[in-house]
Amino acid sequence: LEFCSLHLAAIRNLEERYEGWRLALGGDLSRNEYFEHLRNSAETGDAVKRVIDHLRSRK
Amino acid sequence: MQTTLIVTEKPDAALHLAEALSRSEAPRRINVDGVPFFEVRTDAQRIVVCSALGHLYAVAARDPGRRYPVWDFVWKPKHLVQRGQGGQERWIQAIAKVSREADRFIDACDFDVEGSLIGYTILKYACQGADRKAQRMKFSTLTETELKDAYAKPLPQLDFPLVFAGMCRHEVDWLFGINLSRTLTQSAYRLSGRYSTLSTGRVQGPTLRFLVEREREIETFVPTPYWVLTVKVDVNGRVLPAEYEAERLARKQEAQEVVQACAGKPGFIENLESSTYELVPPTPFDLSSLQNEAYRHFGLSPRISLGLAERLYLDQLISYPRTSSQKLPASIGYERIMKSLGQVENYRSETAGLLSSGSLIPNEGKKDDPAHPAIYPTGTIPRRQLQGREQKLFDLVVRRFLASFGAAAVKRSDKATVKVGKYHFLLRGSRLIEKGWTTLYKPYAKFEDAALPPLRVGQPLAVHEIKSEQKFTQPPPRYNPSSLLRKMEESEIGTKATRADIIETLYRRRYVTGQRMSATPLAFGIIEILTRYCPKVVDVTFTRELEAKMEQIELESETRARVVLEAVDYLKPIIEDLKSREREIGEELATIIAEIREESTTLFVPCPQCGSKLKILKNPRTRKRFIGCSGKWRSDCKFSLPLPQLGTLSLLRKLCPKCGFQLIQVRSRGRHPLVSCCRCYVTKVRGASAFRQTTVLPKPK
Repeated sequence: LEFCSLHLAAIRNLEERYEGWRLALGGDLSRNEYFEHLRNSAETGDAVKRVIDHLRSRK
Repeated sequence: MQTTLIVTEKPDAALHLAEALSRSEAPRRINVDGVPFFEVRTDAQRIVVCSALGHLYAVAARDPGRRYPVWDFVWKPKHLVQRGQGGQERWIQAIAKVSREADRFIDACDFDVEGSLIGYTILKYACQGADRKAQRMKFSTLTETELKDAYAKPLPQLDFPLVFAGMCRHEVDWLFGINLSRTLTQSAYRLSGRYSTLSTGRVQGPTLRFLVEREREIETFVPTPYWVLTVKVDVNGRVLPAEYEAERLARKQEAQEVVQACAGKPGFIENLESSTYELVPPTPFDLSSLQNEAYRHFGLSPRISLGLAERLYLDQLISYPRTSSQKLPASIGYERIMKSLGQVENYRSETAGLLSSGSLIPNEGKKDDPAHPAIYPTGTIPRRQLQGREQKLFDLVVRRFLASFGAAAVKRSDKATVKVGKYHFLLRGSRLIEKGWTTLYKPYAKFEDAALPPLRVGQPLAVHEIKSEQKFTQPPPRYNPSSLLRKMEESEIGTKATRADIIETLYRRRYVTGQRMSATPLAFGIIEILTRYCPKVVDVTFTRELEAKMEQIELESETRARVVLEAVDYLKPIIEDLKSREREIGEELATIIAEIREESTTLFVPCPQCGSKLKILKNPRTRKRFIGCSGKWRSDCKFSLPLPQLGTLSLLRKLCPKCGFQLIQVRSRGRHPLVSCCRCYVTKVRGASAFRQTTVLPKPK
């Protein structure tokens, strides 16, 4: 497995909330924009931010 | 002449008891091998009052050594099993010496599980089995009248159900603590070769799990956006904000539609509603509610507020604070206490008002404690000037006591519906129309009056502004010592006497940091291992069931032996399983410990001379610590800085505003933490402003 349980939970939350964000912002939110919003939000958990950085660095 | 030996819990209690029992002259203070006793002589008898220093005896393994698992235990003098208790040896010897002259024994320790156990162990072990013939004094304040009454009418024997419940709690906690902690510590030691104390316990484990789970929720939190709409309306020249009828909107488009539809349109009052409701007076303090309120108003940790409350109790100013009760029986003498408090300028008008009201009936809460009433002021006027935190806590107890007798306050809430276009917005206001008990509980009861101006249905209103604000859902808040204590109480784990100490232990073991309690990687590691290999040990349900059984011992519907045996049967397979996995567990722990060691000794700021990592090092010859450059072996860099040699050192994630070097913090027992820059020697103690402009570094990954 690539992720520990903490980061797996972060990924799960990240996936689950994406659809909610898309609907909230009008449907045309790309995954990259979604990540950008979360990366800049003070409320986003540190593990989620680390996962975002990791996913971006793989691309 | 008959000699009576009375055992109390603390030296101050011994003095007050001796003073209460002496008729005319002051009690004589006698020293037995440096230990103070108080002697009172009457016509027919001699009374000697001695004190303990908390617990003088503790549970210990029958055989010494660091082996595990251990199931055989005995009660031993505490100085033989715990470091730093050396002074207790002569205490026990002095009590034993005096007890040989005694014909009658009375236990006058605090009337609760811990107090009863302290008295019992002293009478049994130091006084050669006097527990079987000893009598028991029961009191809730150290006032002269109550102490005299308790002495005149002692219970014929010790409160054995409380004693056995206390013994059982200590024994079960010891079995859990020693076996689980040794498993963790020794597993890590065998793999890493370095010693780190790792502890967990029957209550500590589930408590730490609360913190780790909360930290996990915060770390993995993904916020979602929502929108809040407000309009500013002009009411007779006053601009007031009105909220949209839906508290939050989940979609941006919906919010924009409302804003566009309302822009430039006037509004009018469509509907007016108002309601009144009563705010009942607060209940008298039990220990937990006192600790919570002291944290809320003064920022005192539960342990500090308990210590202060005990000090006030020993000064005869308040009743016994370790109580679960929210009830005040009439027998404490409401009127007498209020008349006495009325002598103090600060409480004169409040007590006069209550005394003239005709009837004194406190608003009692549901919780009860068979041993003690709720916490109340005894009415004794302080003999010395109370200072700082003591004064604050005393004032809080007095005002809460008075407020519990107050009349209900009445609050009026007004709601006006403002229609703008086809949308509804709400103007809200509230005010206290009957202040009731809130005047007695000042400054702790705070209500902000925000009354609406006079309005009528159909009244037109100018709309100044309509605003849509994007917000985000928030992660759950971190626990603080007060909210964690509340969580423990709600989950029914630990006791009023032990919860505050368990929270302090979590800090001491470096499982948590900060006032907003943040679980460390070590805490994550411990909970992950325990959850994986023995989930029941960190499960609240099991701990709660065990608590219930121990309470049944107090009610004599369960026996100590059965509960202890059950705990051993439960724990044995768990520990044996853990022992068989010692290598796996040790590997995981050793990795975490090594990471933590590395993180806690490596500075973020690189060496200003060669750019290598700076580390906290120890001189192998002098054992003195200093900051050194890890480039010494590669490039012969000689950069170094001195460090304070005393106190616990931690590296802060903050930079010095003057020179940009990483700041350190030194914590010494009984002192405020000192923040300092090792490079330019700017230091800060609490309250100074030198580091207000510090740069905060990001958390390490």
